Amino acid sequence: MQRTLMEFRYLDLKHLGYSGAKVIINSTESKVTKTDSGGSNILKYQHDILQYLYIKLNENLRVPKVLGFSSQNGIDTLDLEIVRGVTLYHLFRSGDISRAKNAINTLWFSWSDKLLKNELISPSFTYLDKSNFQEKIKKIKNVATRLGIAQEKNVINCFKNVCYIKDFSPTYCHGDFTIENVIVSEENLYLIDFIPSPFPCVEQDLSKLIQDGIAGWSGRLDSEGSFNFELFLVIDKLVRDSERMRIVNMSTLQSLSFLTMLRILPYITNDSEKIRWLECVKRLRKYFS
Amino acid sequence: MRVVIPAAGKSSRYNSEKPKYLLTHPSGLLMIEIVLLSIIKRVTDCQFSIVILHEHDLKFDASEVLRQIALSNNISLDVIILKNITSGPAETIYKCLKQASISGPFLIKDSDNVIDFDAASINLDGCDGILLGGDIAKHNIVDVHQKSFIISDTNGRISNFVEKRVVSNIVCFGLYGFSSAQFFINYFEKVFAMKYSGEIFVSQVVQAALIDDKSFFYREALSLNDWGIWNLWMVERRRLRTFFIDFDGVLVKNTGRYGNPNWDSEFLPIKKNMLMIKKLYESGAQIILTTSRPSHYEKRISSLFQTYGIIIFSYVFGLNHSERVILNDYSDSNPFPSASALNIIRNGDLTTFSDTLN
Repeated sequence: MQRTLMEFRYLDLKHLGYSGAKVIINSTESKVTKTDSGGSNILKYQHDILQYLYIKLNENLRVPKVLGFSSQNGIDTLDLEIVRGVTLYHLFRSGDISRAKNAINTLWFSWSDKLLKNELISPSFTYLDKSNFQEKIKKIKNVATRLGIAQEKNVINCFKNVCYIKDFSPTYCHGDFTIENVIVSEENLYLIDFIPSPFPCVEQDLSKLIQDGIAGWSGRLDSEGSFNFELFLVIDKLVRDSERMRIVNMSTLQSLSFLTMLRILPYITNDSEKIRWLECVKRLRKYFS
Repeated sequence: MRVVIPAAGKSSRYNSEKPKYLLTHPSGLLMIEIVLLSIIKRVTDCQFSIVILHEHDLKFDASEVLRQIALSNNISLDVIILKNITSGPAETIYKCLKQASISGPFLIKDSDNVIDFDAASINLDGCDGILLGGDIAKHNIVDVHQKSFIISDTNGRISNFVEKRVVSNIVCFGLYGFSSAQFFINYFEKVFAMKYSGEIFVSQVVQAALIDDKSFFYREALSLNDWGIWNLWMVERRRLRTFFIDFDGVLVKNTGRYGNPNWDSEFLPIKKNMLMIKKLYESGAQIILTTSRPSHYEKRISSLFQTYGIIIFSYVFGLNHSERVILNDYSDSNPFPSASALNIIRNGDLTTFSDTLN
């Protein structure tokens, strides 16, 4: 009856360089190669978690297969299978809300279920050391001071909220659970770009979706603009359902959402980004009020 | 059926101080009057609620004008006056529903376009709402990126309704139906609570309902005449210009009262020029024929035009064989130049002026 004007890209990888790693697509060998200087050990972490989850996740929620990992001359290299599909971000962007809504519901409820049942946790995984967390917060405060917004009441409120992150039930979490880190293929949903988190819990992952809904983090470099009202509506419903089903603790979710917002601050490079960020913080504060 | 028409905007896309709905159409009717008449043709027992700004009422006597329109056309109409500009059309409708205590099913109709549709299209039985629209390939739609787009399945069930983002080839034409006023109020309040700044569109109220799996259906409209932006209104006005056209030497080879050939001889039409006039006539122009000939030539001249499929709006016979000058006033609603002239050499080619004429 009708065609969608936006054509899906058959292979839709994220903008290069989001997570700092360099990404090369080798379509003849059907693999994606990520390289990093190795100092952060991020690719080693991704290698370990992907290998582990590749066996654990075998229903419609999956991760790409690891094809190889090497560390030579201070350069880490991770080879992954190419996952063919579109990111969940692009599915929202296309306007196909029913498919996007189904995908995000399946994603969130099956992922949070696995987290809460501790089906995925592995003692071999190391998380960020919380001892340097205060140091990181201090650095973010310095950024806020440099940007001249440290004394804004919404910013003060942000930092105040972060102080309350203590009562959370540690499970495992993706760490960067944004809609551009999910690839929707014909059959499955694939999680990519895991990162370690100092607060490994379900609320941490939901806070990243809230960041997408409120601040339009995914697709922020998209020339068409990133804020997407229907995404906000869908994520709001997800939050309300998660609260109703007692999947999340709202107080922890609130604190982690403010932390997530604060972690954007060091990426701000100009005044318009600063104004937009302040608007998002205001929106987030109202959302939880 | 209750029909709410939000007309409390600033008409910011119009170069006119007067709100667009009060502008006079070339037909002599006001824009809003044409919109109202187009709806009562297709919807039975219409009860209109038109929402206007207090500022426009003060400056342009808008509510009185609307009351006079209602009276002269036997239309049932309430005027809802808002003191201040709202955050957008959705809030305007919300305030109207609240202020006028409207309940039950209702339609929302934009004030700046005319849509043709089957009466069955607005049947709200068994669904939460309907949206009328059309395929961009089938309709002449300008400013596509400013429109709202509908995504629906093969049964017409809508899965998304997106503002100003091209996500499908179906554009909403600005006619919406809701199963109840309370339904709209509830979802507007929800969106209002979530959206902290900026304009709130009807599409966002519908989106909020769609997220809750409410059922909205897409219904295809038959035609659209859109005046949403100033340029479109100008195109409409241009389409409906009045042409005073001399007969001899412009449309037929020139002859005089005496000599051979003369006025009684067989007409020798200038075909290119006749076809040019036919095109203008078919697009809606009024053709007034001016000539020095006496009125007993009307029958012959009229027959000639009939062979070209042109009906002359009026004839002016017996004019002086002299310069013809038109005097006309100009204003916001009929902007400068409100009169113009083309001088063509006797028996010349009108098509060389096609840019000016079309």
